[in-house]
Amino acid sequence: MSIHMSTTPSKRFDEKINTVNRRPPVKPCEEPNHIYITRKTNVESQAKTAEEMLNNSFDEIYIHGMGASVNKALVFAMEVERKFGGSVKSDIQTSTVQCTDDIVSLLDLEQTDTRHRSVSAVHVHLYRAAS
Amino acid sequence: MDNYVPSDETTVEPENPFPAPYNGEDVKIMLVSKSSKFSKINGHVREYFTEKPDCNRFVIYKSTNGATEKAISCVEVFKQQFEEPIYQWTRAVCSKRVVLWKCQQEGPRDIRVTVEVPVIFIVISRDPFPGEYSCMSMQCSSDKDIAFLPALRSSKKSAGGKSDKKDKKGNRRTNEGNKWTKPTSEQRKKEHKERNELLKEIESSKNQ
Repeated sequence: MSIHMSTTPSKRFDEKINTVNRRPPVKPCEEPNHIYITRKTNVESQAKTAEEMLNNSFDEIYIHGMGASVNKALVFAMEVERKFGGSVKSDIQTSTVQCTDDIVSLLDLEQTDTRHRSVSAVHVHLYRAAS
Repeated sequence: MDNYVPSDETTVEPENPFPAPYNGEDVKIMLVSKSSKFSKINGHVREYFTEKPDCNRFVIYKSTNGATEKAISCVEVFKQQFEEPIYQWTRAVCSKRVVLWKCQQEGPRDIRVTVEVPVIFIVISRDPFPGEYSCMSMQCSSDKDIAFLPALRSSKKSAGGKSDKKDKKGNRRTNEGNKWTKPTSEQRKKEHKERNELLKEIESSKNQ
């Protein structure tokens, strides 16, 4: 049994005879002080966790958000910053993340294509300001 | 909230958070909304840069109505398309939207709701930023590293808390300090060899 793989330059495909499996994006770091915000993240509860982290475990945390969750990541970062008053400061950087999708044909399951998408991402570095 | 109706809505726009010369009145600010087109905005910026290359050295992208992801995408696309290296400085501030809800019945007070919406300001400059403003929010389009990578490397070394636990797990894999883990094949062979030597010694002592 052989699986044929090819990379399609075009993003278009027939949705009737194909299905898309989105691979999870690669995380730049797996450390516990890196928080990845998704569309499903609860900002309030995550803000509490971040507050505890900054109070007890870490002097700095990193917040990452990509695509539709960029706005949420910024809201979250500002919420944490607001909770700490002026004692926590932030640095913001942006980047483009390459995501890969597998396009599987429903007619021939052995035939798989991949599609690459560029997604914008935001990275916020929250750190305790030197007093 | 059945008896309340929104009567007045005001938006407090944030000020430009950048220092001079990026906060002047004559600075070009591109407002990016959710319905903005990349080609139109980026085409306009490109034209602005090529029109007077000596004078027009920087532009500010500003998101409106919560279109922060659009503004970031717009800048990322422009950085990829522009031939020269582009310097970027990002800052986020909050705009306040105050909505006044009036009560239709007599008695209860009116409600004032304040919603804070993040607004992103991104300076795109053809020249490097002055050294006195140097901070980690600045980046260059020629940078190939992931954002905050040097900081990430140092944080990996100095991370406390749970990362220590991870290190302990790592020790467990190498069978150092944990007697309950399954020994590796090399350790088993070594133990077997030692046992055989001991048995031989005992047998030889018995024979003597």
